[in-house]
Order: sequence, then C-alpha cells, then structure tokens
Amino acid sequence: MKKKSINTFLRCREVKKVLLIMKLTTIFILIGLMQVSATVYSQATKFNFTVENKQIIDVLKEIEETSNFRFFYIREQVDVERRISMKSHNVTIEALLNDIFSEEDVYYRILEDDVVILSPRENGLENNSKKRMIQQNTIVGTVKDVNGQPLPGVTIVVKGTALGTVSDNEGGYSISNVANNSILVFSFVGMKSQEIEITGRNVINVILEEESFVIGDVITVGYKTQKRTTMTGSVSVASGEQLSSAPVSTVTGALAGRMAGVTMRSTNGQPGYDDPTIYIRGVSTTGNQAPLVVVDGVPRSNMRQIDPNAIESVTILKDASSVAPYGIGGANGVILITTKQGIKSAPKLTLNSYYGIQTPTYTPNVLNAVDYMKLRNEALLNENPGTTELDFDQEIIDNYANLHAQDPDVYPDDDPYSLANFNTPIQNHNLQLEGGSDYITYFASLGYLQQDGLFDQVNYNRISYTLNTKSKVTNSTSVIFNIIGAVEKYNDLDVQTSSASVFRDLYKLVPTVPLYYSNGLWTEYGGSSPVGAVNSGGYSVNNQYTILGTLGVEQELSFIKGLKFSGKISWDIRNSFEKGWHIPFKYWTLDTSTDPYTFDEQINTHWGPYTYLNQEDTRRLFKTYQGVLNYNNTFGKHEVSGLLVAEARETETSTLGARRDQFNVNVDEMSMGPSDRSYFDNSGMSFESKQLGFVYQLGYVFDQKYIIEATGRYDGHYYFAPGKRWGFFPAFSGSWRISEEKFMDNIDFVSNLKLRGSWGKSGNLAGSAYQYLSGYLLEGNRYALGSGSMLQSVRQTQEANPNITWEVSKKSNIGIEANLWNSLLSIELDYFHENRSGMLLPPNVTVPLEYGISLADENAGKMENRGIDVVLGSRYKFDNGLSLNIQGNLSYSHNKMIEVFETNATYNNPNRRRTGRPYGTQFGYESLGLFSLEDDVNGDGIINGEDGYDITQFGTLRPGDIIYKDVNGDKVIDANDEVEIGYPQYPLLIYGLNLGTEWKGFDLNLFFQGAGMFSISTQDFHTVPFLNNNSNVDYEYFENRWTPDNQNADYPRASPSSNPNNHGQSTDFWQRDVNYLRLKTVILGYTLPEKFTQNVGIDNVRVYASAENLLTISNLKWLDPELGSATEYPNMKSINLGVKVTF
Amino acid sequence: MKKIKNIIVLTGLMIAILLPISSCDTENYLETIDKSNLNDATIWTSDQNADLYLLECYRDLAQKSSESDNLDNFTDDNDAAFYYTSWNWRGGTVHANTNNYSIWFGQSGPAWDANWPGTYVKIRRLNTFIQKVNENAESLSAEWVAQRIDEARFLRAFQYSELFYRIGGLSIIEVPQDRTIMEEDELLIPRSTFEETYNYIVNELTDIINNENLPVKYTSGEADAGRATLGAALALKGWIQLFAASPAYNSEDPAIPRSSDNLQSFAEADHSRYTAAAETNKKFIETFGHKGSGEYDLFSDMTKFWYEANEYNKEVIFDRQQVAVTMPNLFHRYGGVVWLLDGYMCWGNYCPTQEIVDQYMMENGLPIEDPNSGYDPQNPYVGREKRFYNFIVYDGAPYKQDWMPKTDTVYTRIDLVNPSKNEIDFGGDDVSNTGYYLKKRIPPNSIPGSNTSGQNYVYYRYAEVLLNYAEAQNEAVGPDASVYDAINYLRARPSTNLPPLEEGLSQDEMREIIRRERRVELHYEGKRLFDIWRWKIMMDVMNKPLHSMVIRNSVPENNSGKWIYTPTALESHPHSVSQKQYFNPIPQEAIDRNPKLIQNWGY
Repeated sequence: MKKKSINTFLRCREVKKVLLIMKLTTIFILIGLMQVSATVYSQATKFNFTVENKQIIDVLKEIEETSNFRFFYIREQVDVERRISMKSHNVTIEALLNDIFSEEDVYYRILEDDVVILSPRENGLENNSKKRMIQQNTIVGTVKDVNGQPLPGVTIVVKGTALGTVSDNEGGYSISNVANNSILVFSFVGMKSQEIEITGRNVINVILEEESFVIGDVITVGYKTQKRTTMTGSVSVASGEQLSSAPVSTVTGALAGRMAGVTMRSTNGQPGYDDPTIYIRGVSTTGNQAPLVVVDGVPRSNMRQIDPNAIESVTILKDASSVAPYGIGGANGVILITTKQGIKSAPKLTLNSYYGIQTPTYTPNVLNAVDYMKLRNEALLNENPGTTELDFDQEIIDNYANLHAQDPDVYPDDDPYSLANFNTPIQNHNLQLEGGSDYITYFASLGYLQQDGLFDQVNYNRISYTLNTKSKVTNSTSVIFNIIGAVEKYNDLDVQTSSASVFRDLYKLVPTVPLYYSNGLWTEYGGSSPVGAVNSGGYSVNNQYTILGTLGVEQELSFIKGLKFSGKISWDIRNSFEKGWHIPFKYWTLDTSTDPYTFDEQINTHWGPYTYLNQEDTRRLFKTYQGVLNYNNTFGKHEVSGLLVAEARETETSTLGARRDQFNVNVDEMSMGPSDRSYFDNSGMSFESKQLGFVYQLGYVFDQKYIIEATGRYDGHYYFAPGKRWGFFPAFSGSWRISEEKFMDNIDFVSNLKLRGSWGKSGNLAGSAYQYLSGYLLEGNRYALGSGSMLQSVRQTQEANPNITWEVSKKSNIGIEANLWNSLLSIELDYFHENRSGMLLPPNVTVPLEYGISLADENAGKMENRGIDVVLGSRYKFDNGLSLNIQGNLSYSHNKMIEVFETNATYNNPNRRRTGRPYGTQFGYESLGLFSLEDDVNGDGIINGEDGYDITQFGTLRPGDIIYKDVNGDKVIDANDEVEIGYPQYPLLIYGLNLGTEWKGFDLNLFFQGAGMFSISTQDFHTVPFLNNNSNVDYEYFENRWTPDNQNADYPRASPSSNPNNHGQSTDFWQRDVNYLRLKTVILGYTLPEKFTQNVGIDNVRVYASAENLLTISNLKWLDPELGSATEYPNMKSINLGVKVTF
Repeated sequence: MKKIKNIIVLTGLMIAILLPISSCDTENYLETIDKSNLNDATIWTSDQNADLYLLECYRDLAQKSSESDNLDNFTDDNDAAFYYTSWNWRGGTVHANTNNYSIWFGQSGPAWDANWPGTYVKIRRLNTFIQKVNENAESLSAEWVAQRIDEARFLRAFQYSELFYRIGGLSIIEVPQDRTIMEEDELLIPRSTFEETYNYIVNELTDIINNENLPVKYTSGEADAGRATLGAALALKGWIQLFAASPAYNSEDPAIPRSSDNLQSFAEADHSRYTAAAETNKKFIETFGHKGSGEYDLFSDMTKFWYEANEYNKEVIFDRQQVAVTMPNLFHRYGGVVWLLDGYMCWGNYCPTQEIVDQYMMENGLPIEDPNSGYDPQNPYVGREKRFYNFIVYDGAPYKQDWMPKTDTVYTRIDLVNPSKNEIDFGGDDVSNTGYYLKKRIPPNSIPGSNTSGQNYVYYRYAEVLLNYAEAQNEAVGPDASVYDAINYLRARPSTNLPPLEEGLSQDEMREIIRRERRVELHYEGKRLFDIWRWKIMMDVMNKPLHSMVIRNSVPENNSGKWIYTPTALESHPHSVSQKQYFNPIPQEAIDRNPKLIQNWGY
C-alpha cells in the first residue's frame, strides 16, 4: 500500500524567528488568556495581491505570512517556480488560487485547519479553465481516496437539483448542464461527503477522506479543539451521527458501551429517571465518582436535556493531560458534549422520527394461587412439622380450578402484573434546520420525545430546542449565540406512592386475593391496594425548565499571527416545579355473608387518609464567565501552541415549598385547600456557590513527529476554608508518531503508529460545602413545648475540619495507536494507573463511639486504580460496494483501597480487612450449602447440639436452612466470621462490540455491550417467599427451592418467617458473579436511491427499523443483569421504526 | 460603521475578560455565606438563642409512641409480627458483634430506643450545653442559667438512666470531649461500676431536687410545660432507686454472676436500698402528691388520660411532646384493631397475650385464679374489671372511637359461616396473632394510620410512684398500712373502681399483688421489660410459649353448637432467651474504638 500522502509533501514554510516566540510568550502572560479555534476561515479572509513576475513559491510564502493558510504540495508535481504576474483585490483564497494557477493544471483543496493541498490535475482531461465564463457547462473529473485510488460508485449530485451521477470504475464522472454557481455534493459510504462550489471550473477532481484517520480530524478537548494526529492524551470520541443513528432518547443511552473506558450502569428503567450511573475507567475513589459533564465548553450536568440528534460529538477525556484543564473537577474523567453548528450552505432541513414499543427486558413470574397455597402450607409444615393449623385446605388447593370457575371473587386467579402495561410506546421527533452565509451560520433543532411508562399516567416527555448561531461581525470577529433549551415533564403516580413502589408491591400481592373482583371493583391485601394506588386520581409531576444560554465572542488578534481571543458568558437557568397531589386510595371489601355478595367501599387510612397538595418550586442559576487566549502557529517544522483560560463560575439556588392538607373539594389548586392554617405548611431555602480557575497549556510539535504538552489549572473553590481553597493541577504529556519517521517509509502497511504517554494531577471535589466551619445548624419544626406549636432548634451536626480540601488524583497513562493496512486493522491500547490521595473519609473510628459527635471528613483515604482500555477496529470495502466495519472495545480496571479508616476488628482480621481490597468489596458469611434431612440426626426437625451441630447461627435451624462456616471456630456465627463474598457490585470488566455493514443503500448495525466481574445479591422478593406480610415469590424460587426431594437446591426451605433469621444474612449463598452480553442495539436502515427522492425535492431518505436490548446472554436467567433487581422499575427493550428525511 | 462595530465588539470583549479578573481579590470572590449555620457568638449570648440549643436536647427524648416495635413486644405481654427486632430477641438472637444492625441490640438497641452510640450523642449535646452556658454565664440571666442548667442535668441523668437499665455500669462523661487537646486518657473512658453509675445518677438528681431551681410541675396552658421539673427529678430518683434495689442487681445471687468488675450488679447486696427507694417515693407522695401539696394526683378516668386535651394533667410527671402532623404520635399506625367497619386500619402489632389478659382481675377485685372470683373459662370476658373493658379488645367487643360513625363489633373467632377479617391468624398477616387487640393509648379522635394525633408519650405518671412506693416499702418493712393505702388509692380510681385489698396479707402475698397490680396498671406502657429484668423472672416468663385464645364453634358448618374457648400456645414463635439477655451487649464497635470498655457477661 501507499504511504499516507502527507509524508511526501514538502513544507514551504520557513523557520520563524525565535524572537517572535519570545514576544508571544510575553504577551500570553500579559493578557493571560488564549484559545484555539477551528473556524471556517477560508471564506472570511480576503486578500489584496499585486505581484510582478514572482515565483509562485514566493507568492505562497507571502500568503502564509499574512494568513493562517499553509500549503502542502509535491514539488515534482506542482510547478511552483513558474513566475506569474497578477493583481487581485479583496478576493477569497479560492479566487486567489484560481488566479495563480489559471494557466496550470493544478487542483487545490482547502482542508480544515486552513491547510491547502495542491495537486496536479489529471492528465488527459481537457484544461478548460479558460472557459469558466460559460454559464452552463459540463463538469468532469475523477474521485479518488487519499491514497490516490479511484473510487467507483460515488454519488455526485448538483445541490438543490435533480442532477446527478455516479462515478465509474475509474472514479471518473461527468455531469452536463451545470450552472456555474452550483455546488457539487460528493458522497460515499464510509467517506466524508464533500460539497464543492464549481466557481466556473469544468474539471473538478475530488479526494474523499475516510471518516476516521484523516488529516485534520479535529476533536474537541478542554477549552479548545485539537488535531487528532497530534494529540497526546487519551480520549474517546463518538460522533453525533453514531449517536443518533440508533433511536435513543438520551445521550447516555447512546453512549453506553460505545467507548472504551466508559461504564454505564442502569439503576432504574422509569421514563425520565433512567439515567445510568457513569464511571470513567472504573471506580477510583470512595467519594464522588461522577465524571464532569461539559456542554459546549461550559460545565453543565445536562445530558438528559439535550436531544442526541443535536449533538455533533461527544468526547470522553480520560488521562491526566486531557482532564488537567478541569482542575478540581477532572479526576473522574470528563464528558464533553458539543452541539452541532451550522455550516455555510443553503438551508438544509432534516426530519428524524421514530416510533417504538417498549417491553420490560425481564418480567416477574410470580406464583399463581395454587402454587402459592402449596408453598404456604409447605412453609408452615417446615416450621412446625406435623401441624394441622395450615393456612389452606388441601381440598381447596386440589379443587381450585373448579372453585375459581364458580366463584372467582373468593377463589381468584389473577396475574397481578396485568395491572402494568408491558407494551408502551416511545416516540421521538426531531426537526433540524441548518445553513449559513458568509456572515452567519445557524443550526436550529426542535425535538419532541414522549415515553410512556408501566402505568397509564406514568410518562416522560421532553421538548428540546437548540439554536446555535455564529455571526461574522468583522473580518476578525465572530459572535456566537447558543441556546439549548428543554421543557420536561416527569409524570408519575399519586405522590403518596410511585411506579417503582407499586411495581414492587405487585410482588407483595398475595394471589389468593383478586386484583379485581368480577364486577371490576378492586380489592386489597393487608390494606394495600396497588389498583387503588394506580387509580386514585392523584399524581406527581415534575416539570423541569432548562435554558442553557451562551454568548461568546471570538476575536483574532491580528497584531500577532495565530493569536485569538475568545470570551464566553453563559447564564444557565434550570428551574423545576414539582406538584404532588394525593387522593386517598380506595378499595372494596367483600362481604360474603350476603347473597349476592356485597362490596363495601373503603379508604386506605394507612397511607395518607386525606387529600393533600404539595408544591415545590426550585430556581437555579448557573453563571459561567470564560476568557480564553489561544495561540497557534507554525514555524517551519516547529509548531507552537499556547492556551490561557480564566474561568469563574457561580450558582444560585433557591427553593420554596408549600403544602395544604385535608382538601374539602378535589381541586388540585393551593388556593382551593382548606382555610384552616393548621393545615398549611411551607418551606424554603437558598444557597450559592463559587469557583474560580486559571488554565494554561503549552504545546510543541516538531516535524509532526514529536509532540509535547504541558497543561495545568490553578483552581479555587468555595467549599473549603480560606487558605485551603486553591489547588494547582499540572500535567505533562508527549507523543511520538513513529509512522512519520524515515525508517518507517518502507513499511507500507502502517499508515499510523503513535506512542503517547502522560502524567499529571487532577482534583476531585467530594464532600459538601462548609465542612470547615463548626457551626450550629438552625432548623425549624424541631420540638414543641406547652400547648404545642413547633419551635426551631440549633444543633452541632459535626465537628469541623478546618483543613478539609479536595482529593488529588495522580494519573499516568501509556497508549499506542496504530492504523494498519489502510484501516483494515486499527488499534488503540492504553494502560492507566491512578493514585488517589486525600479521599474524604469520616475518621470516626479514630475516636471512641462515646465521643458523641460525628467528625467532618478528613483527606485521609488513598486508593489505587489501574487497568487497560483496548479498541480494535477494522473496516473493509469490497469492490462491489459492500463495506464492513467492526469495532470492539474492552476495559478492565481494578482498584484497591490503600488507606481507609477501619476498626481494629476488621483490620486485624485478614478475612475482613477492607484495606487492600477493592472499594465496595462485599462481605458476608461463607455458606456451606443447606442442611439436609440427614443432618437432623434425631429426627426432631431441629438441628442443634443434640444432632452434633453445636454452632449457633440465627434462630432455630431446620433442614433446608443455610449452613454458615464458623470461620473463627468460636461456635457462634457473627461478624467475626464474615469473609469477602465475590466482586464489588460494579463491573470490573466492560466491553462493547459494534458490527456494521453497508451495501447498496442498506445499512445494518449490531451493537453489543457487556460487562463482567461483578457480584450482586439475589436475595429479594423474587427469591424469598413471604418476605413481607406473606408476599408472593417468583417461580425462580419455587422451582429451585429446598424440599426433602430436592435437597441439593439453589434456595433454602420455605419458611413462614424467612427474613430476619437464618436466611436473611449477608452471605455468599445469595451472591452471584454476573457476566452478560447484551445486544444493545440492532439497526437496519435503507437509504432510498436519490433518483427517486430527488424528483420530489428530497435530498435523502433513510428508513430504519431498530431494536434496543433485544437479546441478553447472561448467567442470571430471571432478572436483568444490568439492573440486578427484579423489583426495581424494569429496564426496557424496544422495537422501533424510524425515518430520516433531508430536504 | 465598521469602526462602531469594532468598538462594540472590543468593549464586550474587554468586559468578558475583566469580569472574572477584575475581582483580583480572588480569595474574596470565593467567600460565600452558609445561611443555615449560626455560631457561638450568636447562640450563647442571649437566653432566647441558647434556649434553641436546649430544645434540641428535649427533642432527643425518644419518641417511644411512634415505633412499630415497642418494648412490650420484648415481654410476655405481647406478640407482634416476626419481622420485628423483638422476634429475634425473644428467639435469643442477640449479638454485640453483627453485621446486621436490624437485629435487636445490634447497636445495643434499635435506633429509637436508648442505645449506646445514640445515648452518647445526646450526652455530648447536653455536656456542650452545660459547658457553654457556664462559660457564657455573664451574658445570660442568672435565673435562666440556674434553671436551664438543672434542666440539662436532669436530661443528662435521664439519658444515662435509660442506658443504665440496659447496660449496667457506664462510661460517665461530663464534658464534651475534644480530640485536639485531650490525651488518650481523657478520651477513652472506661465503664464505671454499676454502683458508681447508680450513685452518679442519684446524686445528680438529688442535687437538682435540693437546688429547687425547677418548678414542681407545669400544668396545661403553661408555655414551658414539657420541661424538666422537680417532680420529674424526684420520680426518676425514686424509680431508679427501686430498680437498683431489686433482686437482679442487689441480692446475693444477682441476675448475672457477680464478678470483680461489678459492672452489672452492686458489689454487695444491701437490703437498705429498698428503704432509700421507699423514702424517696414517700417524699414524692407527701410533698408533691395527694398527701402533700396535691400538685400531683391520680387522674380520675384513665380512658381519657392520654387525650390531648388532658395533657399535663395532675397524674403526668414527665412526658415527651408530640404535635399533630408536624411531630405526630404514630402509635395508632402500628397497632390496634386491624379491621374496623370493614376498613383496614393498622399493622396490628399490639396483640395482648392470654398471659396478660389473665392478669386482669374480676370486677370483684379477685384474680381469676381465685375460686371465689366467679371466672368462667368458657365465658372469659364476663364480669372482668373495668380496665379490661377499657383497654383490651376481645372477641365480640364493641369498639367505638370518636372518629367512627358507628360502633363496630370485633370478632377474632374462627367462624366459617361468617368469616371476620379480624379472625385470629397466628402471625401470618397483620391481624391479631392472639385473638386480642389493644385499645389503651390509641387516640380516640384520630383515624388509625393518620398523622393527626398529637398525644404526648408519658414516661412517668403518678400511679407508678404509688406502685414504686408500695413495692419498696413492702420489701423494706413489709405490708404496713402505707402500702395498703398506696395500692387501695390506686384501685379506687373511679375508672378502675376495684374494692380495697383484703387485710392481713403476708409480705410475699403483698409482693404478688403489687406486681400484678403493676403489670395491669402499666400494661403496654413500656415498663414490663424492666420489671421482668429487675425481678429476675425473665428466664421463667420468657422461655415458654405465649398463648392466644382460639375460639371455635363446636359445629363449625353452621355455628349451631357452642363457642369453645381454647387458650392455645403460639408454638411457632420461638422463645429461647438466655441469661445474658438481662443486659444488652455493648456494641462491638464501641469496644473496638475504646479498648478500655469491658463487654457485658455472656456476650
């Protein structure tokens, strides 16, 4: 294969004077601010040139001197020694180049980052440059890839018309009757499409770039953008296109498993509340583990509010050098979200809509009435062998089907889960408009999401909008105005309950009680009625209003080339309004003494026997001020960059709440409540926060081969005491692009090989504000004296720690990136190591328990985390147009607590010691299986000393109970016997696999995500019968429980009082090491041939079908391994149909 | 035009740079105010502000009414559901060392009850108050200081006493510890002996009584009602003296074998401790009580004693405040009749056993075992004393509370023809395990389960002082006239209305009568556990099955036969307490953090 073309380009730039560098450095420091910008520069820069008999090479140099443009060409191919004369006034670079090469067969192309590539036009094609004044002409040319290979099958369309063609086997094409102000759009699967203005030319040769590993691939990093090739840090990027190709409602949903090192754990499937917990590179601290989220350059935790369709890219910053610009906020990694900006083009309208049906990934399978009754009797017999006081007559059990048919009210057989909707719709619609002129570019997006929940009134809907504009105010000044807004509504059941709780209560419902009577009224069990809760008419609604507003200015400081200033002000409003309305739950009791039966309406007095309304209004304002000074220049083989940032952040929050009880009329308005003031309540509070930081970054690149960078932030935060507020977080990094070395010239199959490393410090803001103050907390409604109105009180909540400050993370990273055989194999491999110190831990064990006041956390904990991230990719395109790509990622991280506070009791016991083990290690008793009938030697049903078992466990032991190992041999099972039981609850290993193929307009994408090496306890309602008030249980238990006939069972014997005794302990008996692989997304799409669509004025139509969470391979068969619980609001799988239309 | 644009943009730019930078005093920029915090200077400089602090100490009084598992569930008087901590305790599952803190006494007591860590938090708060007030005495009024210091000392003695009953000898800490200036010796305080702890509490109370800085009693309408009083101090002293004089701690053969530590009993038995207890309780009766100033006396109708309208009545000595909605009494959420008028009401945790029901006497004042009592085991609810009908809900009992539109009749019998929702179920569900429900202390005008009851929890009432006196005096000198007086006065209360005791009882006979009277009068008031401990009868009464009353028709198909009453053992509720359970353990964590602490016997 051919080498990457850039290697053979000659650089025409000369070395700049050292003096200039020194001058610049001084200026950086004086002004204190810098920024890089990758803007569309070429259109804005105008040239005035008068040249008399000069060599082209000198003219190019002059252009480079006076602008950002840099030229790349091969001397043998482009005659730059030719002398020209010309006169141009206020022309763009394109016009200027047209003049310079007007007589020549030279093709030019302006890449991002203002790089201009000059190449010879193809031989054999007519030089028609003189004919550029012809109004209608024929355009010919060839399309090649960056390696010069012709690309057949490329679609070439004249923008805004039905004209178009496809390139032939030699990559050639020809289109007739093209107006000379038209734009040609070149597109090809796997390649970046290009739009080229004809500007009078007849021959347009195009080089299409692949979507990755291309020159000038620019990604967003901290406070700037950077070329991927010269990056030294460890980052992962996902493009907006990737994220929105699958119909997902939130960014997090789209990210899960896509990028190496990013763990997402879903904790809840309820619409609107299904945000996963995110860890970047595992868990490295006992404190705050959440990564920092930055949206369009401003720290904002608003991932949910942004429609994935409006996202340009998401970057994950992982290593020290990448996170260093975020100082106190960076240690847990950073998620950078960049929304789309408009491009200079005619208005382009895109509609993307999908509609789907969601179903729980796993649904509980609870016992029916007959099995429940059998189990209940069995439990009583287990506990009292031979007893005749059984709960259910065997006759009734045996004859249940008949009895049920005769009298379903007394002998019901309802599936409690029929109360929930297991097929609920989700729909998302997004409309985007983008475009721009020389002076303004814009991107506007309007999205609507509606996601329904398990019960009728449960849903989440979101209207989101984005308006991003960038205006050129002067030649050197741009003003950016961005607004991202969202209006969200989270609807849930009556405020006295919640979907999750009713879902769980369905487990508790005893199946010998109907859900509904035969007349449609509903019943209760133990005074609880899930139907009553769902049907009460009460609600809980949370309205969230988000407006993220940013006003920015970018100014090129023309007195020094490559210097830019940008300033940004963002005032984000995040308000919420919550309203909870409760109407007492109703149910009907059955009176069987009458014929026909009578049904008596009852009110559940136990949970909220009267109507009430609760409202809470929260206003939050987040202010960010950023000033950025950015320098970027190249002097021959030396490329120098610098960045200075000053950033101030402030937040203000205030809440106001009101409540009225005992409404006389069911009108959910505060003013309609009772006028008796003893039924009023109100509350309110406010607080503010502040942070100030200064960032620097210095970068140096030599010959595109050797790259070093120094970054740091000086950060101050209001959490801590004066003198403890400021921290400095430096980082250093470097990389070596081995593939650019001379000795690699002959190794053709390597197109990119890069080694990189970094070391640095970053901080983590854990704990809470004002822990340095020993104050007295003033609280209302604390106690009453005399005749009874509530009074305030004050109390010391903890002993202050005046020295408290942030945690420090020291991260090292070594990575290698390679691209082989022209992307047939791409590899990215990182090894990371992190030491956290100063983790905030409560030092309470250092004082006696009698000390009587809790101590503020101390920066005492130390933890180590290490692991690897691997990304392997491959893409290949067959001659017939079939393209395949596969990408897999895998991350493993393993942490260890080096220093934590623990008591001597655990520290001195190697089985129990927390120090040296991973954070969140689970401890419990080691089980030795279940007692068998043989263990009951004397046959009295009880296992004790008389049977030769003299170890005290918990309560009376019987066959079928768990045997615990008496680790310390003291004949008592207590905390001293606990041992490590399995892994922590978060996975140490995560992986993802993405398979994609495209052929003739069809695209198919399979995305797998998996995790392993974590342990969860399966002890819950589904595996413990009668857990709470005779609750039902899952067939998982029923079919695998201990009975005399099944002594080698997965679960203990049934017991009428299971939980607090022997079965209810923390033990490895219930632990399961979990591994799973989930087909997270599968998408099948088809893009309609343009010849059909363009006739009706549509540029592009793609229809697609997709499925989420379609298939899960797991060693846990009965519950969602990602969720780890069968009683939580379930995770959903969905099947969707969508269409994307671009006009 | 262009120039103007340039100027505007550049100005904006300058502002953007200067805004964060202009406040060059970056430290000042980060200053914010924590509005929820007050400091020493504001708190300790006025009576009013310092009162806010002490109020929190009052709040520390346990809300014993609002818990699902009451102390009576740890006795033979009650049988609640299996998932409560009392279930484990009665089954003998008590560990100092557990990783399951939901088990009773895992932290030496559940969160709401007096437990080791919780008590020391309360003690520290009180120690801080006493220290700060003394340090700032000159900025506070002298009268205020005198009274509040004594209130705080009372509360401290009270908190120590609550832990003392459960643990024995305690680490006595009287100043807030400060790890920044104190040596290990001052931080790691060993346990005082049983006797030292006892003496400390009694001496504190004696000081308070002698200081006379507190009023004797607050009555309804007084703004300070609920604060500590001389009456409370004297009553507590009398009770703790009786407690400590009891056989479990003050005999040749104490509940826990005597050891050189003397942490769980007196080093030597001394019968005169009863004399001291009798004297203190006598002092109460003769100075504050019905034989003295009359500020304390019996309340005539016990069925209305806990009504909110009757708060601070003459019988109330010390109580924990509750306020409807904001600080509600939730007693009726956890127990009482489960089904009323076909509606589900509560969790049914208060199920009196046949054992306590049998203690209630007959209307004629005789115990049911007495052949002359007229008791009919097949008609057990006829002719019983008034307190039985007032406080126990039995099969066929009419039930009417103020919030109910009409009277309901509660049936707990097993009736196949007309099944009742309250039918006895032996513990499967919320409904009664025993065939009985409790009515005592259930607020009459608040729907069960609601938060609209503000009924106070009464720690001590005058009836207990009378019982304390009678018991102490009977032990000290035998059944003299004053003993008869005290018991007969209690039995003569109109809502009890039992005839006087027959004359000429022996000391032992009188002891049994006092104990029975005490058990019935103080039924379900959180007292029985301490009584079975101090009387050293726990091993006897708690190691046998409790009983329910099963009522079945002899012809169950159509109820044409007789209703048969069969007291039935609750076999499935294991009772196997062991001797160590006369005390709670000290949590292992406390010992791990303070190696000077010695664990109680048997743990």
